[in-house]
Amino acid sequence: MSSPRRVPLLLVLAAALLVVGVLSALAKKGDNSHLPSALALNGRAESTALYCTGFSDQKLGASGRVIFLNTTNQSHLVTIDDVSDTGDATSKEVTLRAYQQFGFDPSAGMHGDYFGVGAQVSGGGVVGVQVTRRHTSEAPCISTGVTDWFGAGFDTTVGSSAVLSVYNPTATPAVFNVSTFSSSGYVAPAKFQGYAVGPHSQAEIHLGTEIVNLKDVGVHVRVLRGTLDIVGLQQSGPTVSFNPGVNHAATSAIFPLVTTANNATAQIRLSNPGPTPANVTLTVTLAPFHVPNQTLTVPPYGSTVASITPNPAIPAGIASVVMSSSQPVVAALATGTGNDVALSAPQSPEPEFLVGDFTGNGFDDVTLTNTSSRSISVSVVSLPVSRSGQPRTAQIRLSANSSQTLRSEFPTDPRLRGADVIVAAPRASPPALLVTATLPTRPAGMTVVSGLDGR
Amino acid sequence: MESRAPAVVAVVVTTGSGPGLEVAVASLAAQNYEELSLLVVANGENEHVPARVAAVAPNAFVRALDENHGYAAACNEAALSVEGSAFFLFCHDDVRLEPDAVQMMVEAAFRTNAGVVTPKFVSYNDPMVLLHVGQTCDRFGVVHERVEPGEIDHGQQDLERDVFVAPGGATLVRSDLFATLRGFDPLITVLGEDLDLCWRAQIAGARIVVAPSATVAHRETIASGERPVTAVGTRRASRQDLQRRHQLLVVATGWGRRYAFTTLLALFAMDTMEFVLALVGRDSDRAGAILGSWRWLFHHRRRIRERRRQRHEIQVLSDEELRRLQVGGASRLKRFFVLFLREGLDRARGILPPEAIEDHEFDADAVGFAAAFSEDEEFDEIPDSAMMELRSRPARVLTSFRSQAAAVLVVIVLWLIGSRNLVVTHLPLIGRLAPLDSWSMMWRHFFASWSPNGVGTGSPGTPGYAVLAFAGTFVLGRMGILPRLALVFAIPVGAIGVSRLLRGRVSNRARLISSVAYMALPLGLDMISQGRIDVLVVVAGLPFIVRRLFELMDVPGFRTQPYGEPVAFGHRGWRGTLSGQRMIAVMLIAILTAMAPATLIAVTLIVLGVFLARVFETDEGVNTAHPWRFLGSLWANVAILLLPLTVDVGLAGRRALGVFGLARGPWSVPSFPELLRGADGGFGLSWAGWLLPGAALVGLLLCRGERLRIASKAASIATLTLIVAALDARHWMGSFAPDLDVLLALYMVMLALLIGLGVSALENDLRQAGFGWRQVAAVLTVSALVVAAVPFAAIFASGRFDLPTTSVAESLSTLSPSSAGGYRVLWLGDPSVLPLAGWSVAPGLAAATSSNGLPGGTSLFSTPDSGTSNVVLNAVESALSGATVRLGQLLAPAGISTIVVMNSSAPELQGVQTVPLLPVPEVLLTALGRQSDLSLELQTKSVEVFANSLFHGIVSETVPGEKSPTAVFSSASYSGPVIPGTIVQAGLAPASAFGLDVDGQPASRAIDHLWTPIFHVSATAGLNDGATGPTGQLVLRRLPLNALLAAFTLLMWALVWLGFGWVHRLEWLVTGRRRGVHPRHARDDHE
Repeated sequence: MSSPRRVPLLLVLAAALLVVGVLSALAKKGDNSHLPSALALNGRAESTALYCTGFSDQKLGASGRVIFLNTTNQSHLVTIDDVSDTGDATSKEVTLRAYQQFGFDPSAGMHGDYFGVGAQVSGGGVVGVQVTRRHTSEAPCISTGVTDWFGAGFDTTVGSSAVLSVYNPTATPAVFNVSTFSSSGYVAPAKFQGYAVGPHSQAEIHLGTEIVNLKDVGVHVRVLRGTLDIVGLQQSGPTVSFNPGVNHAATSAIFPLVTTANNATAQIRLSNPGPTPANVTLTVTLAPFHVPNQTLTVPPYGSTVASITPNPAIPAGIASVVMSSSQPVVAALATGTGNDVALSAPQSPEPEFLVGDFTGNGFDDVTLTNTSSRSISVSVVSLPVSRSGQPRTAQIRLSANSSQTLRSEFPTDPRLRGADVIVAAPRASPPALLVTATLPTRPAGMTVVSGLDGR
Repeated sequence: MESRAPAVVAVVVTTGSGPGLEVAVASLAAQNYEELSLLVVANGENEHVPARVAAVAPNAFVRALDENHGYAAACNEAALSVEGSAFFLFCHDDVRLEPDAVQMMVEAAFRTNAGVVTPKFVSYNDPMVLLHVGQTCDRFGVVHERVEPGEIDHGQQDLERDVFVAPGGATLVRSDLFATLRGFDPLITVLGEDLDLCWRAQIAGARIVVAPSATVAHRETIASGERPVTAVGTRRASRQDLQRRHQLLVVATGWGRRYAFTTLLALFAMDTMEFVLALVGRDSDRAGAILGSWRWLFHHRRRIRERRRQRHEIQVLSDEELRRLQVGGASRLKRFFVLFLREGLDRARGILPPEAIEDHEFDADAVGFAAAFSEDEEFDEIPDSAMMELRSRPARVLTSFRSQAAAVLVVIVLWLIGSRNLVVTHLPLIGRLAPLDSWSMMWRHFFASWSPNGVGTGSPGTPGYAVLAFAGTFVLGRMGILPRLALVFAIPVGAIGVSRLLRGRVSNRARLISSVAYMALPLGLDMISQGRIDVLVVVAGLPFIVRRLFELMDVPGFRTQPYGEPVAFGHRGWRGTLSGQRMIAVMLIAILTAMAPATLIAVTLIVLGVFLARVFETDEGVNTAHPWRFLGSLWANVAILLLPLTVDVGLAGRRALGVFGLARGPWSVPSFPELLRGADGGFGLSWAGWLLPGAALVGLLLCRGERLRIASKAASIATLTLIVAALDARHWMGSFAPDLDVLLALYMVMLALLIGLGVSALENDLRQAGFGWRQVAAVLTVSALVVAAVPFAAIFASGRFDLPTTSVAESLSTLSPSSAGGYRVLWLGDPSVLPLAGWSVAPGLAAATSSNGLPGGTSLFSTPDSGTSNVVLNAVESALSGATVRLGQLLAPAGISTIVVMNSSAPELQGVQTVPLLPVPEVLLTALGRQSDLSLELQTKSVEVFANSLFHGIVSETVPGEKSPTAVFSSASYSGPVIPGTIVQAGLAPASAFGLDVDGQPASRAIDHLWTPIFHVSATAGLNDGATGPTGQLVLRRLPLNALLAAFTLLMWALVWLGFGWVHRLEWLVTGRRRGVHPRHARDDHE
C-alpha cells in the first residue's frame, strides 16, 4: 500500500478554509437596521399612512389644513382620523381619484387647541402636506412615527412661543422624555419626563412653560415606548412655522437656499446634544463671490447661532450653506425679517421628492442639488391636472456637487404655480438628490419649505 | 615467502576480585589464532592476579598497576608497553570468548577494512540470548541497542555491518588507529569510554564493524552491580554522575562548533526539564547528577579545548556525514514522552516501584557504556529496545481495564452530577422542549389529515412524530421522559458512538480520550443549553452513521472482513450482506433525518469528504468511481422511508430547501472562529475552546499510515462541513440553509475522530519519527487534552448545563385573550430562538404560529411547504418592506391575537441565567411600530409583544349591519350557538376541508380573503329550536389520504425490519411449521 500523501490534501483543505474564513470575516454582518423607505409615493403598497400634527385652533395662530394628493392614476380610499388634544375625534373617508387633491381642515368642527391627523390609505401613492392658513409655512405629513426626534432654534422669549405638537399614530400608548439644550445648558424638566400619549391621541408640549425666555433652544425627544409624529411649532410674532425636526443629530447638513438679501434675517441655529464640544464649519457658496468659511464651537449640551444675514462678509443673494461638524449636532435654518423668523429643518437627500404647489401661490425658487461626487440624471415628472391626462417627464442632468433651479423646466410659469411635480433620481446608496423650495415672500426666499415630501 | 597472521595483543583489564578473570583468560588462551599475545593488566588490588593468570595461561604477561585509574587508562598503559602488534583486543575480565572469536574478528577487520571490530555479545549464562550486536547512538550521545532485551539468537543478526558504537567487553582495535586516536581518554574512567573511542574513530574516518561470527559471552558485572566502580576519582560519583559527565564530554567535543552549540543547547534544555521534574519528584540524586555534570564539564574546559583541537587534527568526516551515521531524534525525550503517556510521570522520570524493576530482565545484563543506559539508570538510561518491549505490554495510564473502567466511571458520575437538574426539575419552553403530546396523540399527528400548523395545513404528517411515538413506546407512553432522556443521554450515547467508531482502529485509551473529548466539545453542551432536542438526537446518532458509511465506503480499517455472500431478503444472514448493511445505514439516517432533516446534508458531506480525500490518495482496491451513485441510493432510500416528508418537500416548491433548516441572520450566527471551535452558544467561546480543535489538528499532522488515511478523510469532511457552515452562516447559498448546528455536530464527530487518531499516533507513530516538530506537537496535544478538561469540569456547577430555568414564552402565558373562537399567537424571531418550528420570512427571521396559547406537541415539526400559511408570511413581509400599516388587519382573519417578537429564548436573570441574545432584524421592530392596529404590550430585552387590536378570534361571526366581527364558538370544539342570518368566518385552511353544520345541516360556504372559509347561516336556521337558537359546528371533511400514506410508510419500515431475518423466523406463522434451529450465519452478527 502506498504511503498517503498528506501535504497536497492538507494544503487544499487549508487553502479552502482560509479563503472561506477570510471571505467570511470580510463580509459585513448585514445591516439589519435599515427599513425600506416607506415612501407615500410607493404605489404598490397594500396600505400606507400619513400623519400630520402641529395644527392649532385659529385663535392660537397655527391653524391650517392638510392637503392630500393622489399621485397615481388609480383611485384610493383615504380614511382620515382627526383628533384633538381634548380627545375629540372624528373619522372621514374620502376617495381620491387619479391625481386628485383634497384639502382637510383639522380644526373644523372640532373642540380643542391642537390637532393631529392620521390618514390611512388603501394602497400607496397618496401624499399629504400641511400648510398654515396664512401660507407662512409648509411641511409634509410623515408616513411613519419616530422614536427619536431632534429640533433646534426654538425661541421662548417674550412675543414668541414654541410648542411641540405630538401625535401618537399607533395603537400603542407612547411614552417619551423631553430634554433641551440652550445657552443655559442641558435641561430635562421633570414635567416633560415620562410624558404619555394615548393611542391615536394628540398632545402638545409648551416649551416656554419650563424653558423660560430663551433663544435658540434645541430639543431632543426620546420615545421610550411606541412611535410618535412630532412637529415643532414656532410662533414668532405673526409668523408661524413648522419645524419637522430630524431623527438624528448629524455631522453635516445642507441648506441650498438661504437668502442673504438685505433687510432679511438668516441664521443657522445649532444645538449640540452630546457631551463633546462640536467644532462647526459653515461653508457659504454664493457665486460669483468667494465667501470665507465661518467656524464656531457649539458647547456640550448647548446651543449657538451663526448669522448668515445680516453679515458684512456675505453679499446679498441666495446662498448655499453647508454645515460640517466634528460632532453630531442639530441644525435649523431661521429666516425672516427682524424677530419674525420661521424655522425650517435641514433636508436629507432622498431618491424622490414631490414639489406641490399646495398654497396656490407657486414658489420663489425650487432648487435641485446633487450631493454626490458624480453626475446624475434626474427625472422631472409633471402630474396631470386632469384625471385623464398623462404625466409628462423631462430629464435634467446634474453634475457632481452642483445645484440647478427647476424653474428652467417651466419657462411659461417659473414659479410653478399649480404644478405638482415629482422629482426622482436613480436609486443610490446613499441617495444623492436634494430638492429645496422657498415660498413666495418679499424679499424673495425667506420662507423655506420645510422638508419637501420624500422623507 | 612465509605468510604470517597479523599480531594481536589481547589486553585484559582486571579490577578488584575479578570474578570471571580465569574464565576470560582461559578463553583467550584457548583461541585458535596463532599470533595472539595475552597481556593482563591488574588495575590496583593486584596481589593474586599473577597467580590466578598463571594458573590458566602460563604464557600470559601480567602488568600490575598501583592504582586503579580506570579501564581506559589501563588500556592506554598496556598499549604503550606493547610494540609491533597490528591489533589490540581490549577485553573486560568478565567475558568468555569462543575459541575462534579472535580469528573471526581479525578476518572481519581485513575483509571490511574496519578500524574497530566488535563481536556478537551473548548472555554469560545463556549463550542463546543476545546482548549486543553493535550499537548506535543519537546526536546527544544516547546509545541504542540493535537487539531487543532477551532476544534469542536465531542467526537473525549474523550479518557483518557497520555500527556506530562497539560496546565494551571485547573490542578489536587496529593499533595504528588506536595510536592516531591517542587511545582511550583517561578522563573517562569508566562508563562511556567505548562510545568516546568509537565516536572519535568515526570522525577519523575509520569503519566500525560488527562481526557476528565472533561470539563473546559477557557477564556485565559492573552494570549488574555485582562489582562497584572503584577507579580513582570515581568513588564519590554514582554511575549516573559518571554517565552524564562522559555523555556531555563526548557531545561537547564530538561536533564542530555550530553542531556542538546547537546540540549542547538542546541538551541543556532537556536537562533543565529533567532537572525541574527531578525537583518536583524530590529526586535529589538525579538533580545533583544533572547539575554536577555541567559543573564537571565547565571544570574540565581546558581538556575540552584540547580534545577539540585533537578532533580537528584527525577529522575526516564532516558533522553532516557523522550525523547520517547516527539515529535521528532525541531518544531521551522520545522515551520520556512515550513512558509518560503509557505509564505516567513517575515512570517517565525514572522512579519505578521496586517490583517493576525486577520485571525487566534486561536490567541485569548490561556492562560498559551501553549498560549505563539501561533501565536501572532511570529514565534516560532505558535502552531503545525497551521501547519495543513497552509496546507489547499494557501501559499504565488509562490502558489497563481497571484504569479505563475507573475513568469511565468518573466521567459517568461527573456527567450525572452535571445533569442532575435535568432529570426532575422543570424544563423551560425553549428550543424544541415544547411539551410533547400523549403517545396516542403523537401517532395521531402522524396519521392526521389536518394539522393546525400556521393557519392549518392538510399536508402529510411529519415522520418525526412517528419516531417520537415509536420512542414513546419504550417509555410506556410517558412522553415527558423523552426530552429528558435526550438532554441527559444524547451526548454520552454519541460518545459511545465515537468509541465504537474507533473500535479496532486505535487503542482503548485513544477511544476513551476521544469519547471524553466528544463530550467536552462545546456544541453538544450548547444544544443542551438551548433545548435543541432535534440536534441532540443527531449528536447521539451521527457517530454511528459515520461508522456505517465509512464501512460501506471501505475506508481503510473500517471493513475488517468482506461482506457475506448474497442472502435472500428476509432470511437470516441478510443483515450481514452488503444490502443489509446498507439498509441499516439508511434506516439510521432516516431516523435522524426525520428528527432533523439536515442530517441528510451531513451524510452527503461525509460521502463527498471521503471522495475528496480519495482524489488525493486512492485507497487501493476500492472502487471510487461512483460516489454519486452511492449517494443517490442513500437519498432515494431515505426518501422512500420518509415518504410523507418527501411528499411535503415535493409540494413545497421554492420553500423545499427550507426542509433542511431556516436561514439565520448573518448578525446572529457564530463567527468563523467560533465555527472553527464548533461553538454555537455560551460554551466554547473562551480560549479553551481552541484546545480540542487544536489537538485534533495536531493529531492529523502526527498520523501516519492507515491512521493518516482515516485522518485525511476526517479532515476532508470537517473542512467541507466548515465551508458549508460558513457559507450557510453568511447566507451565501440562498434559501439552502441547512441547520448550522447539525453541520457542527458532524464537525464535532470529525474532531473527536481526529483526536482519537492523534492519541493513537502519539502511541505508535511518534517513535518512528526523528526529533522535531512532532515532539513539540505531541507536547502541545497532550497539554491541550489535559487543559481542556479543566473548563469541562467547571460546567457541572449548574446541574443543567446552563439550560435556563424559565423561558420567555412561559412568561407570556397571561397575555392570551378570551378563548372564545380560539386564537393564534404569531411568533417571530431567529429560527434558533423560536420555541417551535416555522418558516423563514427573511434571513434571521422565522415565523410560526401556535394555537390557543403556548407551543405544544403539534408545533414540533412543520412541513417545508408553508401552503396557505403564506398569507401570514406575506403579511409580515409586507410590513417589513413598508408596504402596509395594517398588519393587524391582515392577520386578523387568521385569528392572530398576539405577535411575539423574540430576541432570546429565555430572559436574562441577573446572577441566575445568562442567555445569548439573537436579535431579530431591527427593521422588524421598526415595521411593527409603524402599524396602526398593533399595540405594544410588553417590551423587554428578550421579547416584545404586540397585541392585535383588530383580533376577532379564529372563528368569528359578522352580524348584518355591523362592521366588526365578533368571536364565536368554543376553541376546543369549534362549536357553539350562531345567530341566524350571520356570516361565520373561520381562519382555518385549507378552506375546502371545512364545513359548517348548523343544527346538522351544512351551511353554504364561500372563500374570503382568498383563503378563509365563510359560511352563510340561513336566516331561518334554528327557528324550531325555541329559546336556545341554532348551534353550529365546524367539521373537517377530507379523505384520509395522509393516513394511507403514513400507513404505507410504517409498512415500509416494518418490511425493512422483517428483512433482517424476521421473515425467515416468522415463517411458521404462515406455514404452521417451525424450522429447525440453525446456527447463526457468521455474518448475522456483523456489528
